[in-house]
Amino acid sequence: MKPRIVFASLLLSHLLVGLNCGCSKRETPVERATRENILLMGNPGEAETLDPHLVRGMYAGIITTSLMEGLVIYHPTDDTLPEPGVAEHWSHSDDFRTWTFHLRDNARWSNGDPVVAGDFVYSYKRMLSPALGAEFADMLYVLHNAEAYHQGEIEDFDLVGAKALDDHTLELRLEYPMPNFLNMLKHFYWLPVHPATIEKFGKIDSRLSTWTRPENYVGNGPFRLKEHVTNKGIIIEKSPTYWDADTVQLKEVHFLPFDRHDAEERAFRAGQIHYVSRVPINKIDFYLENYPELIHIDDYVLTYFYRLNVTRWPLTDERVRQALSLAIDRESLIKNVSLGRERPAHGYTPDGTAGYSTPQEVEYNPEKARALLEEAGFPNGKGFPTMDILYNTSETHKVVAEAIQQMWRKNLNLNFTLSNQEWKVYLNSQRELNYDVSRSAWVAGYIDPMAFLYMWTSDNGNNNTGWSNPHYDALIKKAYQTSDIEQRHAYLQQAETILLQDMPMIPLYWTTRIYIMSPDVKNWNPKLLDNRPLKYIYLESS
Amino acid sequence: MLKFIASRLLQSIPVLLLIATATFFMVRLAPGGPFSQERQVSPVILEKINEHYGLNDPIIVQYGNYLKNLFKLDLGPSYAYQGRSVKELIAESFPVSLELGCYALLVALALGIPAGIIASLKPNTLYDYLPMSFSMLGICLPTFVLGPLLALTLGIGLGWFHVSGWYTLGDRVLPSLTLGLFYGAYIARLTRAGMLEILSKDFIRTARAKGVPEHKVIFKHSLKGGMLPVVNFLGPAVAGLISGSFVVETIFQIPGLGRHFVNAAFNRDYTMIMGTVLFYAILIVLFNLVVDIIQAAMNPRLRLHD
Repeated sequence: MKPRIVFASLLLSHLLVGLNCGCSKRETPVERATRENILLMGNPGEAETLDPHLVRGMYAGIITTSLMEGLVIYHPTDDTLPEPGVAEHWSHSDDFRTWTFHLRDNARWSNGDPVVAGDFVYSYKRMLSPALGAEFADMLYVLHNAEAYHQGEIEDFDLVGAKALDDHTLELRLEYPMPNFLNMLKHFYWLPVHPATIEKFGKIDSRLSTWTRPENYVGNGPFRLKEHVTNKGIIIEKSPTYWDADTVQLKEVHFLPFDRHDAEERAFRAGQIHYVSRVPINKIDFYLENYPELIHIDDYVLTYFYRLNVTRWPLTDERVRQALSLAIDRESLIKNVSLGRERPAHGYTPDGTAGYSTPQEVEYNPEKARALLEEAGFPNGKGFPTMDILYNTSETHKVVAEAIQQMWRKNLNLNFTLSNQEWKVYLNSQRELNYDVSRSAWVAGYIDPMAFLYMWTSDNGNNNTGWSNPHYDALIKKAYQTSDIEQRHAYLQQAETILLQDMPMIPLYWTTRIYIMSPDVKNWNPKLLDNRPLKYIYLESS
Repeated sequence: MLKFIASRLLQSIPVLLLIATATFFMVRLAPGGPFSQERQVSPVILEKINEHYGLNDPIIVQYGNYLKNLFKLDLGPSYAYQGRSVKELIAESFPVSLELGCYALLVALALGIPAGIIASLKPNTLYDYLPMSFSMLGICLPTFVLGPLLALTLGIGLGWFHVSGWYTLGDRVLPSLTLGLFYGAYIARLTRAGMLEILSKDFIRTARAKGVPEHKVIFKHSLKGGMLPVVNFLGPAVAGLISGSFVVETIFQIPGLGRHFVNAAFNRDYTMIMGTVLFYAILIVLFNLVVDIIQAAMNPRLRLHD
């Protein structure tokens, strides 16, 4: 029996090898894809939808910006510059409240229909239809009367500030001056949809429509949808009807959803994908040392911070909040713990966002921290209750929380416990102010300091700290109303200074975007928003 | 026999109803809803969305509607994947998990049974210790360790297989091995235990005394009885295998049901949670029934009772 088993296992192993041809020097999927002009991209998880108005996350949003094209699109190298999309050129009134866009004649939907100004008006109307329940319809509230229409206060969409003057001229009137409006306009919530297709598969406000299936999808972007199998992948291919099809060099792009970082990185090493969207934290140094040409670390507009629940004693005292911030050594945190080459935050808004300089109000000064704590009635931490740091379950957040716990113990003699909660439970706790200190992060949807600062006003649903300051609210309001960029930045700086002095949250660092990419991918530039127009990307074997 | 099957199926209806009810109320108890996310949705919009899905109705009304739809075999729309129905998502992903499960089962049986038999024939010798140590290793090594290990060695190291995706026949090998080895290890131990018990029985000694050749003793007289514990184990194991393993499916990026099962819970995709739980429950009920029938056929001391 024994020789037979040996023979059988030999046979089995040969069979297994044979299944995959057995030759070890065969062409990898990436090599083949480069040859065939197909970009293989890892994507963190499955896209919930490809309907630009109902998308919830950045990653699905990035795919929709390849399938649809807005008035202006992301610039290939500089996120603060507008690049003409469907709009060939545009103008604005002196007060930045009325914007006129001139649409190009040769813009086409993937079924051949011309793209007209009315399509954009229809799309804004759809996004703002109350029954559609678009999660982030408030992104369009900058349009005059949009909020009133969305809340059902007015029913006539003609009263909203979006008007097609003719097929190729679109006029947008804004609720307040918006010098950075073009940056906002690049966001996927401003993308158009094809009205006839929407109507064919439902009504303007049907949430459960099937128009996003590959066989139904009509877009106007450089690519069109070819295949979408949940959890398997999304394939988009070059659209022959796109007005600038000559620029588009990629034949196809495959977005492959990975639920785990390590699986995605393994797929890269096995030569199966060109691009790894997220790098496991323990692999960063390895790549930097051994394959610096493969790993990329770009600046990103994301602030990592700790919310403080200002309704809970003793966090009610701003001296205590300041002391906690002063006791954190951000340089050391970045160098030894988070490892992502982040920038230490000296304020909340990432410094340099659209030319804005962030006030320098945050520093590491343990002596000052101890003095403030003593002043607040806790000499050497005496009498301070044991408090808790909450974070959502993740190894990265855990190590940062442990480091902060350690710094507060060492510098202030304070005891903090750590607790982790599953994502939605954590969101719920944060919302209900059921925490002491809570890990948080905020990413801007568009390049503008306001995208960071608007959330700290008293009535904002994203504040979640219990903090409110009427001076802050007033300054934000003033900034909204001014059309002078310098003046606007000045108001925002004053507001941010108040925020940082009151300190309802402790900014830790401005993160980076870290990804691994094959050198075959060309014309891929670092972008603040991690949103690249794929029409400019090409592949070349290296 | 038919009467037995019919009565068992009828009995399963209240069981499934109970599971549906318990799941329905349990998922509502979990904090956070399907539409909560980091960037807060304004309360007005949330209200509209909830209205759209009937989530503003009193819970008991929602429960009634759910049961009504369930009897019409309508599992509702997925809350997480807009424009997709739960039925459609299960129909799309179950065949993948089923295929993976079948391969894994083959691997498990092909490795587990022979290893168990060999071990039982010469207990407490090298022939016993070697396969049993391996099986112990297989049981202790969780799939989230074994999977990446296999991917690193056979996939990246030797370049024989892809480490993710579900396209070619070769893509089936690593996930099937990962999943199959774990079950194979269990089966080996169960086979050994079952066989040892049978081999010590009087009728085996009689057979040997009468000069029946050893291979006949093993395959004809002992195997049937010795496999009973394995068959018992296989019922729920097969249901688990074919309904998808979240770990293996995420390690190898396989578009199966297991990923939906777990992600639905993370997403608070109420309808999808209900759909996958019920689907899994039905599989367990069915496979337990099949196991009972097979056991009755294999063990003359057992009878099927209504």
